[in-house]
Amino acid sequence: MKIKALITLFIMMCITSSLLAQQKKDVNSITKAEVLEMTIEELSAYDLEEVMKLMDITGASSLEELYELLLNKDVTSASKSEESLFDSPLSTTVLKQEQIIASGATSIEEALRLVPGLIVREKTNGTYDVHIRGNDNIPGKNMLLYSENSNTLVMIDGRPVFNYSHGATLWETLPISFVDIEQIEVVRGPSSALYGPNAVTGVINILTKKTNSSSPLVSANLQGGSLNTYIGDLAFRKSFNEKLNIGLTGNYEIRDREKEELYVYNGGSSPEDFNYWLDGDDKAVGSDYYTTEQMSRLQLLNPYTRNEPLLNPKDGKPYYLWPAEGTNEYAIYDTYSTYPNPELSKKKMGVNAYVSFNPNKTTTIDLSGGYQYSDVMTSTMCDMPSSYGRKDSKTGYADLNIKIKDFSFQTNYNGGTTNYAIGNEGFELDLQQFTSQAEYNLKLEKISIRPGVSFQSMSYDDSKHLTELGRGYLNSKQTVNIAAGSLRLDYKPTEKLRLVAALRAEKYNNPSDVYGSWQFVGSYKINENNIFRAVYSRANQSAFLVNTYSNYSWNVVNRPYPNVIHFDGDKDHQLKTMDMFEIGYRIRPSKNVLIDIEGFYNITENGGALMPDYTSATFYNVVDAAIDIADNGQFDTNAPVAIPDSIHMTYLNMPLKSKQLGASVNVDWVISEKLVANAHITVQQTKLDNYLAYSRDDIIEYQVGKAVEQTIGLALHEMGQGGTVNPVQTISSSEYPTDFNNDYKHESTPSYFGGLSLTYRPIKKLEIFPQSYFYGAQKFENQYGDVNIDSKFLLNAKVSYKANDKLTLFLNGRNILNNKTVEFAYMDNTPTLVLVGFNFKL
Amino acid sequence: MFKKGSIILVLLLFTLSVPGQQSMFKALFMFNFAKYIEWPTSSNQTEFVIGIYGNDDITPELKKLAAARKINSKSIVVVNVKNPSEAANANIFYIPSSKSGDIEKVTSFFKGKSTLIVTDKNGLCSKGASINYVTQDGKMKFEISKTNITKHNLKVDSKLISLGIETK
Repeated sequence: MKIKALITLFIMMCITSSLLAQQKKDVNSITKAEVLEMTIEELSAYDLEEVMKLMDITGASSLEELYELLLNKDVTSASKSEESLFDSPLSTTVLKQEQIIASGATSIEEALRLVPGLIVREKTNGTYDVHIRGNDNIPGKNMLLYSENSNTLVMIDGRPVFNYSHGATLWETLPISFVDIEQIEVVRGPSSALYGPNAVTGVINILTKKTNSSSPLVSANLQGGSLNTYIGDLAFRKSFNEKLNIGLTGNYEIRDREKEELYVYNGGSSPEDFNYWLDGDDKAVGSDYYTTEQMSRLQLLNPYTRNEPLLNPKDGKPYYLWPAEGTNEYAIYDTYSTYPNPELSKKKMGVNAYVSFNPNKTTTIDLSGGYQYSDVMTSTMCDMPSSYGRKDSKTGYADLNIKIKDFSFQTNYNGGTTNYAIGNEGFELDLQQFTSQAEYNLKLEKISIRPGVSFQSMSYDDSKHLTELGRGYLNSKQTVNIAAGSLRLDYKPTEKLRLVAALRAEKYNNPSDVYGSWQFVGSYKINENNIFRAVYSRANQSAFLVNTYSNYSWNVVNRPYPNVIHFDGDKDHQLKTMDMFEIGYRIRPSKNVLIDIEGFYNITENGGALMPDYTSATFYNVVDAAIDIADNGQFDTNAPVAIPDSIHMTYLNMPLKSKQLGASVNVDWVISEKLVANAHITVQQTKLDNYLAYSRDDIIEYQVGKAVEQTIGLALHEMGQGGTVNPVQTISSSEYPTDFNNDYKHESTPSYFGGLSLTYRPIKKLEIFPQSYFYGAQKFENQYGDVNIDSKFLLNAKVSYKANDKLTLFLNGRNILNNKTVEFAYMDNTPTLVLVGFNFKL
Repeated sequence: MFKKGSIILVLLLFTLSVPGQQSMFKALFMFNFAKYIEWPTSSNQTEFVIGIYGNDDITPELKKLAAARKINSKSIVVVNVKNPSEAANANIFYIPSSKSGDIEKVTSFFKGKSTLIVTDKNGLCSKGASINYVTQDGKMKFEISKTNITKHNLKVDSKLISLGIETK
């Protein structure tokens, strides 16, 4: 009996051990299929080291990495502290460096086409117009300057890289490149309460990479190809220990246009209305593309004979659009010095150094500094016969960011020289921008309270770059100072409900006023996969130098009249403000899909522009015109001859009100390890109230007309009394038209725009990234006419081959359908680029 | 040819993969962590409690393990909680990626308690996590902080530290 039991036990032990042996296979010889067949119970027989090996065999992690990279991002810009993007109370998008590199974007601006709600139009090869949601080119019928985006605050690590001289961002002056970037955070909607002025339509905060022990020592990206386009960057990063890390980066970019001709506008579009005479070719010509040599021969056409140039009665010489250097005291730049390399679209370089010191766990000290040089051909920021303008810039910066527990302090400086309109005296300025801010984030159980103070001082000085004082737009050093206090309350009364209130008050030196901005947000997280939010916020622009301190006399030498146009800023103007109401909903229907929906309505008021407030003219036939009209109320034989003499332009606030209603949807979908899709679309409609459809020249004409009417009225009255009337009189008017339009459809912003992209990895080493960007038709209203921009579908594609862990080779095609239509009025046709390059890490 | 291409594309679009594998390995890792951690003996708890903050795919995997295995001869109990206080006696408390924002709330609740805090988001060891899952070069790895573990009156085997990425 005992023996029987022992035999049974032995047999059972044998069976059990063989079963166990069968369950626990050798990790060194097991196949992927065998691991995939195993249950978690079976796998639990292995120790940790073995489990790690088994996991490597299945290669199961890359999908998780995709979720982490694309669907579970963190963001800091929406609440000023790190949080899950899903929980962000504002409309927020994060672009990781990996996504930017994979997309084949050739510049930061182009990468922004991956972000919902962004309108990105290429002007010349590598120069772009970037707007958030729209409200672009307001007020219309004006200079190209007013199409620049002065409503979005762009920052690098929280340091504003904004141009306070004219408003807007000079993207080419950003000293950094892809190799510097950790991620780009875009917050749509008014955000001045968090970041200060100019965050009107939103914020673009570019966060740079922090060096740590896993950072590659060397990383580099380089690509080159068509149109002499070469784009490269390089970084060295070294982590000495947990406390001290450094980084050094450099970048260079150069690009050509597809042609060297430049557009000259305001010349008429058909032979009947041509305004120019091309000397040498001896023919009437109109608005068209010309070489710099042809531009130097353009003269004003005699409007009466239409087959010869108009001659200046003073000296009998023609009016050259660009008088040759030395023709008169104001002609110091000819077409050749204004456009020395008309085929060059962009040249830029930058160097940056980063030092990060973390003396203990609760203290971080980040210091960065750098220098940039740029030279671009893009739309002019001035009023010239050509729509093209060159800008160059040489600036340096230093930025110190200290965080001690919940206290943060940031101070930075940006200084150098920028020429906003090469070839126009008075637009080269030295700039000095200081920003300092301190905040404390007091965290209690359910509420965090973040009080803060900040001070900004922006000085611009053109006096050192003038042949004589009086020829600049400032003619001195002028400064915009802003002192501000802010408070942000973030209250989570329950697990699901979150209430945020942010308030900021700003005191300007000019206009001497206090501006308030705010943000009120409520978000309700229904469960882990659904969150609803609502926002009401207000933001304002800052004072810009051009609006506040302009003091520019334009002595007009290339036209018969007027003799002078004087531009004045207004120290007491009102700053543009936007109020926005927004609702948003984020849903994760499954672990691999994220859908973000936002609907918005905003109202923008108190904008303005440099417009004529006073026109003075000479009325040459007062008596004859008065007599002519006296009989039947009409001019039959003696139409009034009145020629504008001098015009006084001031920064004028306008009653214009813009109302925008729109919505964006973004879908990120990790379909499988091999395929990832993203789609986003924004639809919007903008309407204007109190819109005056008059250009500067229309207002001048209107004011001359009003002055003529008044003068004739007075003359008739005087003549009726038996008095004498001076036949030639200096007349003037500051009257303004009142035929305002309401609910005027603003068509400068496309009614729809968005993008689609796919990442396809058929095998681990190969990645194919087709990406499209599209927008609807637009009508761009300029002072020299309206330009219809066709709807567009752009297709780009990048194919990358990962040779090994260190090296990736790629072929990059931009605009591969060769869709040439212009994206921005009066600018270049979109070029097609084919580039080859590599990404390297050591 | 075109038709075939379209079919392949359609298939690609609808080939949704099963994302369970990663959660299974996370659960297996966690089960194995316990072998290298020593909890104070004073605890007379009869069960080994794993608290999970909110819902996460790791729960069903851990429950499968709990049905088949024990830790330190104790039955494994897996509880999903909406608040750390609901799992006050947890031996391991797991914060999924989606709940990472609440790390400070969790660390302050378990301060001084014998609980191993496991997280799933880059950089959380610097915010008080004991062990943190990270993905590097397509591979799941874990960061481990000896300081944070010992703060919770736990002892850790140096073998576990050598298998992970030690953060200080």
